[in-house]
Amino acid sequence: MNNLQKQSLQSDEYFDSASRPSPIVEEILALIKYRELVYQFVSRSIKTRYKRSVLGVFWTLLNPLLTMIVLTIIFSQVFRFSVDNYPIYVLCGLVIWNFYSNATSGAMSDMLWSGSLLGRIYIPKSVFAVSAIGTGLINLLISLIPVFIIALVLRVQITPAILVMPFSVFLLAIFSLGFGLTISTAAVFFGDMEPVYNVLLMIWFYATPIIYPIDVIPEQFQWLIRFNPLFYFLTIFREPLYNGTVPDLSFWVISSLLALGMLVIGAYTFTSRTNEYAYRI
Amino acid sequence: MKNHNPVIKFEDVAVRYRVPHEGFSGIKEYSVRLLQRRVYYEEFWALRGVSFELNGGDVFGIIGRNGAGKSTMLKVMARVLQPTRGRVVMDGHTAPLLELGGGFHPELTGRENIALNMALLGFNRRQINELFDSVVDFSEIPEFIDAPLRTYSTGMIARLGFSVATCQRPEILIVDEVLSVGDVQFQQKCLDRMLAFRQSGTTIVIVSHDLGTVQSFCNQVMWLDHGEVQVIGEPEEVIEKYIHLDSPEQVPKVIDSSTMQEKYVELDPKLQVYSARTIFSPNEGTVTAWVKINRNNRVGSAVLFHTEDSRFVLYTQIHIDPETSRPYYQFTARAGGNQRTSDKVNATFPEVSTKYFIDDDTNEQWVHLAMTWDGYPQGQLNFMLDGTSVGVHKYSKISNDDQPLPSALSVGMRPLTWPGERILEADGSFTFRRPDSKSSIYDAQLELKSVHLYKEKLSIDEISEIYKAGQVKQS
Repeated sequence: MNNLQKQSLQSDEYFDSASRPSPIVEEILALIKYRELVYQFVSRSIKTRYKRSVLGVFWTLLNPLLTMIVLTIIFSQVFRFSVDNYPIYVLCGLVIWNFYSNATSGAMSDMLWSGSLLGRIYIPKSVFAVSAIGTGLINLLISLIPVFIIALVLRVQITPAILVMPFSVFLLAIFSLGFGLTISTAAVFFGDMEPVYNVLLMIWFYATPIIYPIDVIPEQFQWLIRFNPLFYFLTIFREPLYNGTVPDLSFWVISSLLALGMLVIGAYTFTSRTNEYAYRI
Repeated sequence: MKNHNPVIKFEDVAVRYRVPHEGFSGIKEYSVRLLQRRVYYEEFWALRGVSFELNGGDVFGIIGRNGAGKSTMLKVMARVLQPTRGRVVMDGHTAPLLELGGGFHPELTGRENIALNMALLGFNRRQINELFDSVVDFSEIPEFIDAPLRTYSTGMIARLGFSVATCQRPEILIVDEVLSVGDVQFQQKCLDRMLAFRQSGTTIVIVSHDLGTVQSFCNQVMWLDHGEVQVIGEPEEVIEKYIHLDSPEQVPKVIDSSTMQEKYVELDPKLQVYSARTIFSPNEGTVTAWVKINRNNRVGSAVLFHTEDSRFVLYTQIHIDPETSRPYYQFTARAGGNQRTSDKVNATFPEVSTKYFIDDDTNEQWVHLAMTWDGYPQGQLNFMLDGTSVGVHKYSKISNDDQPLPSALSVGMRPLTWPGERILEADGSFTFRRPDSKSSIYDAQLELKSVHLYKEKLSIDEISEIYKAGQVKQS
């Protein structure tokens, strides 16, 4: 019992439902207060993924590798376009795609499946999206190891341009967070959001030049690709490693605007609407 | 000092749940209905304008029927729900005890789960490190702490959950009926900790059906019904009002059978609940009653005699004979079992039923019913109508669940505390049913008279005598 007496409990926690700060501010403050929870969710994700399976660690590495091998075999024969170092080309795309699709759909399903938790205890609901992004980043980092190994094996020119890649990942993470928050909000109101999003992801995958170079698309349809936000994020990630060059400033500007814009949209819709969730559980 | 300001304040708080009507749940359906202008929700107001104030150190009890809105109120306090209308003020760190072990993950160890749950409660890394050992100590499971949680028993999980949730004295503690888990020593430990909190100025809000605990622990009680405050005040006062106003006929009457002269107890035939203790024995007994039925009755289904656990029941239902379109009453007597057992044909209680057609030249008629039983959990039921036996049924312990025997019985209706029908399926699982509990003789417009309860089994002849004597009185 000593701990109880030692703890000074004059806390400054004061909640007044009639005079709360703006929802976004409130959510950000809560997220900062609950940062340990984000850490716990991420670490739980990583641990449960790897704990009981010997293959766990290797699977994260193997998955994109196996896909890359299959795709390389198929497309370098079938499409008959020659892309130098196709394995690296496709690996970059796959690794980024896995991050994006897992982070966004994870953000949504983690929140949806935590109904029992949210019905019992208050936590800032954005922890799900944030920790999904966090888990995705760690998995991304781990899966970059074989990518670099293969790049070295294939004698790809590694230039200092790769130093910009962390920024590319950062911008994509921001965009993913915003998008994850947005679809999480939609999922509260529409029960079929999960399967719908899976279908959307499938289409999106093919609408992004991951397995094919953009030249393969006929001129008149190339504008479609340019309306795909992931095209920009993919480019600023892939180019430094694959081409050894820093992408054009315009790409950075567009990516930054997309990331920021998506974050604002996501933050706004999420914080203003997800209270509804508690009424519908 | 904060002492003069309330620690918890509810100002006209209302909470509305929204359930989509017609069950659309997808984007495609939604868009279609939006175009058709058919999107609307069913609204359910769980709380309607609740107001009250609590000061530091108060222990506030909330009582009411299931569905009254008690859990919703706790959720608003815990910030799980925002009020749809009105204002809530919670001044101080609030620790919820809404379900022990809710955030536990079965694959992680006890240690990892403690850290996770403390993070869920909003503790930061430093606090977790400081308080970790005290959590492990209080939960009394140090040797299991590194085993995965799926190896824990429910008692251990509850202990761990309580330990985590109360590792630091909160300024406000919200408790929702969680204290019935764990062994007696641990329950006592939990109670002691809560008492210590109270001593140190914590405000405690507790929801419970255990009126005894509420009365002894709380200094203020609120009775909530259908989302509205019925009364707030001193525990004894509110609890008494709750019992009497909410279900006045449910206060069990006690009969001191030692002062009785005759072999039976006369039960009041007007919707009464009795304490079964001194007057009823499942090993042997008889119930006799006169019931007045009428031809024009369309409701006609009523419970005449009912032990709290459904083991001994006398009831009636009205039906129309399909061939002749004549109405008839089906009288049923049940003895010795409260569980439907699947017996290859259909699920049935140990019961005897009989059809009774009203004489054509009368509208109303008095019928004499008598049920005898001997033995529990094995025995025999005898059912007699108008002095003649209409059936015998042997029952055994397969018809009984393991609940204790009834402490109450009712006349003319089912006791409100009736838990429902338990049906044993053929595969060994149970389903639960609560058919309409409105079947009182009042609803069915039936009348009861001379309801007698014996602690011994009368013979057919004796019952026949009673019937004939009673018949004389009718004419």
